[in-house]
Amino acid sequence: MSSGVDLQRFVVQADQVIGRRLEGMLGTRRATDLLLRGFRLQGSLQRVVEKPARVVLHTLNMPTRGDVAQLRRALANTNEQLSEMSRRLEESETGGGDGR
Amino acid sequence: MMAASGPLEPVARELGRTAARLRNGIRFATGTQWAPIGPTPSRVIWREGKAELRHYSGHGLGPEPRLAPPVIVVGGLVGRSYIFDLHTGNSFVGRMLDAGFDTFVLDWGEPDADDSANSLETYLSRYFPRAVNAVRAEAGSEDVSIVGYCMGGAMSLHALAGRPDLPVRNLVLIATPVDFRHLGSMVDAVCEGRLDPATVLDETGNVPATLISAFFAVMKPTAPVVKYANLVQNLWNEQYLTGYQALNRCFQDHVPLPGAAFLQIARQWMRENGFVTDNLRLDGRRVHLADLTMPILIVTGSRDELVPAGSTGPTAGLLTGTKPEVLELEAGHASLTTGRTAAKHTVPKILGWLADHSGPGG
Repeated sequence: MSSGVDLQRFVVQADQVIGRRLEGMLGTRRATDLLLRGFRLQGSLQRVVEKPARVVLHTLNMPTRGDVAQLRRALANTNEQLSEMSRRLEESETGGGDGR
Repeated sequence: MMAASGPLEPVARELGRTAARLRNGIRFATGTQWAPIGPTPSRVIWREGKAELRHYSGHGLGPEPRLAPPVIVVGGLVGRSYIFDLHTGNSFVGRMLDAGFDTFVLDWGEPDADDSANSLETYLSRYFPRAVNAVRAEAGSEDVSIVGYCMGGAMSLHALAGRPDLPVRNLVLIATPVDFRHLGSMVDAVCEGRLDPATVLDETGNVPATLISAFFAVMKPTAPVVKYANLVQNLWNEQYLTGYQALNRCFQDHVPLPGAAFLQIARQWMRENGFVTDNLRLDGRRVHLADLTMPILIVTGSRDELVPAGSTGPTAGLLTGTKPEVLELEAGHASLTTGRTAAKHTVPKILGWLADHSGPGG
């Protein structure tokens, strides 16, 4: 019997015992809340780490990555509103908007 | 060289495989590509924002279609559309072409900050009907059939509830959730109000792909270990490596979810469970699944752990405007469309139904 098959069999058996339990544990309300808190903490830490660079760039009157993203979001909003207005206008003209 | 025979044969075979494992292991670690992304030739026939529609039939690229109407395959917003064209020999698109369908794939694209304001209306009221019309114009067809996979099925349902007048002859829903109370602890956190959806948006205004990957990882935490054990065992087998690489890439490579669309999904699909409670809205008005009247096939996998039976079960009962057929197949989420099970059992059944509801074309 090859070592590969032995390893696979062992892992599958271990997965049946451990995997289900782990899924059960991670599927609990507390574990989910903890994971989500961790994810938000990661975001907060990133902001803390980026703060010195932000201060320096703003002192030099230069935009940060966050400023550019904010600007792009604002432009995306305007663009989306214009596209929706255009679609509704098109629909009111064609009575369906699908060009049929 | 003489092949070993008799009692030494298994030893020689194992030695050969060990050498191949070592060789392929080095190639794998150094980034050798066994499976090119989306190998079936196609051309883009329509594009808006980051969404695009690819055509695989005819024009010297693929076989001429023998069946009509043309079929649009629709995936979800968080996955890669190349799941429908994994690799040569394991391609849902390839099997559709072989069966004679005029095949199109709608790819929603990879959003960034410029798409953070994309809402359900962007995708379902704007892109979806326009893609349908682009296919009709390209194929010279009055109508189309739609195959929606996973979230792509839910999006198709929502879009068609908003526009029941769209000329869709048939609808196939593969592993499509409608009851969002059965999709795991992360979705439960949104449904129960423990997670404010706005707090998971990153600076681009979208749900980051890393969170979407984490959502799937939490559902099957030991999957990577089993996956790597299988990989080590089959590292000598290049055919296995091709499939592994294509599928692994596809299921690890998620795309961000546009923030505005996610906030609507969190509210309508998750918190309000809108498909089940008949509480879906589009363009500021109520839309109803009961308004769909075309023939519908609902395909579920009995071993699907990602979209379990509880989340797909109510679908037939909600589509009261038609008599949907339900096809429960012995398959998991991925094996409904990819892999050996799909090639032998699931895809032929799905395409058989679609062929029965199509006519001669070309």
